[in-house]
Amino acid sequence: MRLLLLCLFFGSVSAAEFPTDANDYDPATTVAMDKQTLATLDDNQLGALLEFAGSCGRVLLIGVTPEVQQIFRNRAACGARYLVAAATTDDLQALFRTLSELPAPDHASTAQLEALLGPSATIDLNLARLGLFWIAFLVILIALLLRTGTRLAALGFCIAATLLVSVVWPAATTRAFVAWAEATSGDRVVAYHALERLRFYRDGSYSVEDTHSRGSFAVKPVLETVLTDGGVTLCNRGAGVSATTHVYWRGDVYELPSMNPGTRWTSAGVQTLDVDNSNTPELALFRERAARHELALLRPLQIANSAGQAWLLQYDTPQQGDDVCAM
Amino acid sequence: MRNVSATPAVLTIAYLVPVSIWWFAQTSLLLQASNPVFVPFSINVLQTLSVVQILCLCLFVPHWVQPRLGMTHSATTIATSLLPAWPLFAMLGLATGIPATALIATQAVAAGVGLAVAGIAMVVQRLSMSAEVLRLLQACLGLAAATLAWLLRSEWLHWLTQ
Repeated sequence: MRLLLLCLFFGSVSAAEFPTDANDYDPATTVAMDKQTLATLDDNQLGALLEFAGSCGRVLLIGVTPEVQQIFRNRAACGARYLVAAATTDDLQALFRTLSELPAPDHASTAQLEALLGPSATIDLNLARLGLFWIAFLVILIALLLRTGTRLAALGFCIAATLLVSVVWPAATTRAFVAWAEATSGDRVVAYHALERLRFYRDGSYSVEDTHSRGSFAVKPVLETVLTDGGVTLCNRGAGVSATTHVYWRGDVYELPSMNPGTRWTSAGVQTLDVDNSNTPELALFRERAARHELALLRPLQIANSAGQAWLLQYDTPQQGDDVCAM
Repeated sequence: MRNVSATPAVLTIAYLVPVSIWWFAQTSLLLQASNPVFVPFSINVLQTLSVVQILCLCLFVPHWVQPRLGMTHSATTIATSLLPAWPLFAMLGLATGIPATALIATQAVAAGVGLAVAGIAMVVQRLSMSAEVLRLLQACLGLAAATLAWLLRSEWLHWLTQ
């Protein structure tokens, strides 16, 4: 059940009514939370509230200690722009109004996530290949049957062909998962939006079921960007090898290969990618989302225990300089 | 294994060809139209295939078994009849998302029914009677088993609609 909380002033909602799942908060909600109410929340409710802040939800903290404020700041995404702390209730109305009037975070839309699902969420049976396989199977089987003494081999061949089909062929009923996260340089917590699409057949009907979810995760940028004469230069400041990344720079998209720690890459003289003909929906969405910015990075994310795909788009504002990667 | 006859497999191929052509042709049209009816249609084909498989077994197993060769020969004959359909079963199962356990269950039922009919047919064959009467009894046994299997088809086909 989705709980719509348009406005929660302390005292107007009892602690028991707060959701235990962050997805039960409406994204448009502004949650005002005072010290006393916060103390009465159980672990699940507190976790949901922190997760709500982590998905760029608007949270107004009143009279809480700096330590508690810091806990929320450490969990808030969108650079904690949607998290406001007030020491007293004096300017509460004004703060509340200011927070409510902030423009909503520009997350990837449902249509954009659907585009990312791509062919993995559609019935993709290669009938021509399937037909050729089937004809070949029948021909070989008949040949084996016609030869006396090889009929047991014919049975083994049937089993082998069945196993081959089971391993090689794609299933029409699928589970596809995509997640898209966006951050600006300096953000330590990133909000993501995810879409899971299940295609299944049950009880006589065929269904497509979409599940939306949102959440956040911590991120530590490892690529440093600097404006140089020839374009933009990136340096791997991390301790490990960086993942293959795509770079949006003034309307063009480049592929940045994985880099060892301390190595650099510059856009000068590097061939741009033809996104329109690349047939990669994530690059199309990357360019679309990054179009209002000068520089952005897109890198794939590893999802634990999931066959889905996820990407992190990071907007950046490079500084002028030429000593990038100087240790 | 020189005693294993090719007849059961040939009979199976004889009905696999039209069933597979039916499925490929119809599926091609449905996929071109992105029609979600594709999955229910494939399940329909799967059910049809399963019914044809078990009816053929019931009708012909009484004629295929030979008491002097024992139940091992009967089991091999039944396997020879069932196995050629398995790759198509696998294709249809993947296309519809029906779990492998359901497909295996239908095959186990078919094999069980086939073995039961084979057992009865071997008892009948051991009775002293003329060849004409024996063939008549075998045909009656096959028809009775096939009729029973047809009447009870919903008992095993429901696995293929989960």
